[in-house]
Amino acid sequence: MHTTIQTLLDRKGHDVHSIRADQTVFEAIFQMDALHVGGLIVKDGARVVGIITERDYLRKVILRGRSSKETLVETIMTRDLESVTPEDSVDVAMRLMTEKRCRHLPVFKDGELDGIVSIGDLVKEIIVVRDPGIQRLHFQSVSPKYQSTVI
Amino acid sequence: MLLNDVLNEKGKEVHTIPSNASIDDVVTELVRFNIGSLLVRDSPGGPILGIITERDILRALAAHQAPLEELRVSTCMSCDLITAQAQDDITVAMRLMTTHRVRHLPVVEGEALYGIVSIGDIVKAHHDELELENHLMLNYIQGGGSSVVAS
Repeated sequence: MHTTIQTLLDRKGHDVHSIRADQTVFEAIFQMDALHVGGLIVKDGARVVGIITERDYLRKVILRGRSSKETLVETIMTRDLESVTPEDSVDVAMRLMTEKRCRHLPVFKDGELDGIVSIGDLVKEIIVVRDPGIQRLHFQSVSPKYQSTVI
Repeated sequence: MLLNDVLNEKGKEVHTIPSNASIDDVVTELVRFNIGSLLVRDSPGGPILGIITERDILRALAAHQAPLEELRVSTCMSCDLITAQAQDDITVAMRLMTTHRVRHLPVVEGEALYGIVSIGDIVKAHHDELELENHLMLNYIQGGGSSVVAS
């Protein structure tokens, strides 16, 4: 799909929910729950230093017997960020999420954070494009041009 | 692509947990199988009582702030199950997921549980479908169009 991340962000908005690296995991959980999101960008001052997701929490806090009120975000956040640019296609974002098994991708424009896309955002975008696509392919398969080629 | 095709590729195994299990047990199972949800049922082959996901755990912890081993599946699970049919196209699954804001859909065939698909499975299926389309299109162009149409 050739829709760009820019188009998606124009529709969805450029807001990014973030938390400081020195806040507690409990604060992150509380914020994610209140905002109905599954991940927060982690910042140290204005700098983006990672991402914390509900999956990080489950795997790195609960499983290892840590306390969410005593563990800092920076301890469990994912530092190696997969990201996209506004010029990338939705297709590229889909491939990254599938390959890296992640559900959030920050968007960087000239090195600056410009937005975030979730797997849910991608699915919404796919739906917009998918139905007309099906109709078009169906039309092509029975178009007289193709039939005459067969004959 | 139909949900049946997605399940044939990924497998139809469904992981379940009893309603009186603790959230601690849920996390152990989710991490063990590297999945994001478990269906809730009290006996093998018994009725499905609900679903418990990573998001439910996050919500429960933010709301109750109780130790995980004290929280029961029955108090944290979602009982209103959104399901899809095995013969539904993946577009139907995408619509259900975005409309109801869920990331897991139990798939039924008639009344019987057939499998479960996640939003990640659906995005991967859509992406694979696109890759195949592109591949066929490339073959078509390189082959001058006649070979694909004639076959």
